[in-house]
Amino acid sequence: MKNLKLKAARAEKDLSQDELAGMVGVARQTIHLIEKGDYNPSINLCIAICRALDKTLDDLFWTE
Amino acid sequence: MNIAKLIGFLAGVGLALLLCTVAIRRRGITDGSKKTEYDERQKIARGEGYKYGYYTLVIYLCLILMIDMAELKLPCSMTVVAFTGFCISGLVLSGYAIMHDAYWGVNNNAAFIIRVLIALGAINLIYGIVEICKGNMVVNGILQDNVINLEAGILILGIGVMLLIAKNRDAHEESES
Repeated sequence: MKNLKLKAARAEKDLSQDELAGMVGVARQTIHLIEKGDYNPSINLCIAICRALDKTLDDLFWTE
Repeated sequence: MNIAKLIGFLAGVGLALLLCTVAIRRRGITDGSKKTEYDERQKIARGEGYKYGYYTLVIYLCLILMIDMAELKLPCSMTVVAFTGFCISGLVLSGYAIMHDAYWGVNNNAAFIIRVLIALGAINLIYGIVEICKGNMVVNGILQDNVINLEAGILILGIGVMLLIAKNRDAHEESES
């Protein structure tokens, strides 16, 4: 399932996938795959992404 | 035991290692600035690549074992048999890692690596083709050891082409995002 919340939060901060990847220390492709829903990140990576985007885990990774 | 052949092989491996060391030092990879670092997803992908490469080699060795048990004579030397297994499993490992963006240098040295691989692959392939044209590849129905150059050429060029495909796919994804 696509993570549109992550994509929207990244766009809100005006960050490219490459820039966000650099901020959290992963490859650009990893961010691309998380947004596509093809990779489930570890909790540490989720937290790093949330900190980089000033969001909570619920905001970005909790599905209703 | 063919000592001259063994010395030639070891000298070739030594020269290849020397050339690689010189190339790596010239590119400044040893200072850590261009060293490939993998994230959690890439480490998992590399692990899976090694797993599939290992299984491929096990299956290949089982086939060779069965051929040996059936007392069938392969039309080539043990050197060729061993190198073929190495090439097939290496191609599986490299292919899997490349397609999951987890190959050595794929994110920071891709253009340089692709150029080196295509040059090395082409040299080996050309040498192999020349040997076929000279009629030295098969003598009395037996595949000679110089087929190794052809196999190495296919392996190295295959890796180079896969890297090129992955790089193009990556550029396409990046422009879309």
